Amino acid sequence: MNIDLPMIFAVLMGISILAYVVLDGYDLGVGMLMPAATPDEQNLMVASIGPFWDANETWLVLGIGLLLVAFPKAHGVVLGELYLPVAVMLIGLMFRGVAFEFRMKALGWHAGLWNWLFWFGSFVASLAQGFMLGRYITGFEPGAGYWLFAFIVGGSVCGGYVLLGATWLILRTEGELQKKAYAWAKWGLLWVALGVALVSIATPLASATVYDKWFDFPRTFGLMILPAASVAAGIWLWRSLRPEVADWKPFAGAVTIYVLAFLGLAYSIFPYFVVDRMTIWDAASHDSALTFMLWGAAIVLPCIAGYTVFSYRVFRGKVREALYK
Amino acid sequence: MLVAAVLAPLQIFVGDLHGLNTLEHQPAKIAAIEGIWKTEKGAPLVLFAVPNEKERRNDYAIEIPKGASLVLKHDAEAEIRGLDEFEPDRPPVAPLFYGFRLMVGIGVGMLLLAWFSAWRLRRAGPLPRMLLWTFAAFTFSGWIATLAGWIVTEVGRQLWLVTGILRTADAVGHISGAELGASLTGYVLTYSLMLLAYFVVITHMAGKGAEQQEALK
Repeated sequence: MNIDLPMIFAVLMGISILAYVVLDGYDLGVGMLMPAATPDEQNLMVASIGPFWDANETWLVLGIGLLLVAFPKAHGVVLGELYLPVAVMLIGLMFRGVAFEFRMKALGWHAGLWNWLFWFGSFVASLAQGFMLGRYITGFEPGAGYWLFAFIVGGSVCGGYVLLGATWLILRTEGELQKKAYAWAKWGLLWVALGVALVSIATPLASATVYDKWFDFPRTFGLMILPAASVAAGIWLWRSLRPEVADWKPFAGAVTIYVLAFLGLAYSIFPYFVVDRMTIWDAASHDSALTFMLWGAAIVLPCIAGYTVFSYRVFRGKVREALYK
Repeated sequence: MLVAAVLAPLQIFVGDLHGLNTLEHQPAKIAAIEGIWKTEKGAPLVLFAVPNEKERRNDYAIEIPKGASLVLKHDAEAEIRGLDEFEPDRPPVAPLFYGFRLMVGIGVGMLLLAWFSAWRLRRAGPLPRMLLWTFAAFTFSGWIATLAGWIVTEVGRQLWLVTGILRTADAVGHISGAELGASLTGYVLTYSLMLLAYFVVITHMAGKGAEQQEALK
């Protein structure tokens, strides 16, 4: 039997990236919402993501690890092209990680500084990630227009993370803070709607390859299920942003939008790994290396999934007090 | 302190195993660390010297005869391959030579300090002020030793990235110098700020500990 190993690894990498975006997305979003809250609320917000944020970032490590070992040629091209935004993202994540601990210990104006750095790190990392996505979808084309497009995607991703963060807070908090989170989620959703619409219109215009994949009648009619489902999920999410609706529904709605957007993106790019330059099979390592790594993945992935589920079970429910004093 | 007294010699033992392993797989690195320029039998252990890269010899050397052969091969007459065998694919000597001595020196210092303090702690009464100040002076010793060791191992690998297979020069990506400069500046600034913050925090915490001690009295 012949197994399509590159395809398996492409799917695994996709799952890692999607898991990263959804999981770290909500904690980056909470970080970006910090300036809108009072100091007591800020402590609760940090407490709501405290047990999870660093485990969430392991999905990024896994995704990049898979990129390096399974698709070394694409790794060279992608991370070479994205060298600077990756450096910017890392610096943002560093400030954020340190601020997590230090904002609790700092006294006087230092506390304000670390709170600001926490917000700043979250924002810079999110913007850099969106920017990378924008550069990636357009196949790293040079030119001011493409760079502008990448910045717009960066802004949209910030909005998307704010939406995830706000719906996460609806799920994990109560009272005044939760009330604020409903309002934040509405702004986040509007922002996302605008961003997704803009990106969905701009991407086929920016890339002929993507255009051909979507506008090929009669296939187009079948494909319209994706945008239609996204709009439906958006409306459902908007209607669930009320205290009468179960607290988990807004977050579930936000995740659904992410999954749909991801599927749309994956469809746009497939079978390419680097648009117009390199397919999944061009970029993949030798089959013998992939077979070896499949065993590694078969051991590591259940472990990560296992402790993820475990930690979310242990720390479920509403947060009522600051994590550490 | 007892933990340190046990771990320090363990670290040195592991270091010896690591050195023997490196001798087998990256002999040029060992030759540079030891400052052995020419292959010889019963090579001396150079305690200190100023490596002279131009003349390919050590100036002002203080040596233990046959020491290197004894340490590396556990046999006083064994042959040690010198740097001349690897020309021109060999690392620069000075960073390895000094880095290694700095690392080992700090390691020995830690060992002596840990053993002395463990012995001293068995006696009642407060520790002498000098000893406490020595501890404070050793605050960053672990960092410095680790960094020195890191420099030894990474510089020592050159000019190879994968010894004998891939040269570093053949593996560099297509990143422009400007990009590298920008990211490096960013990282250095970030880490300088973090280091500053770290100093502020440990100074603050040390002060808090001292206050509590005073309050207890």
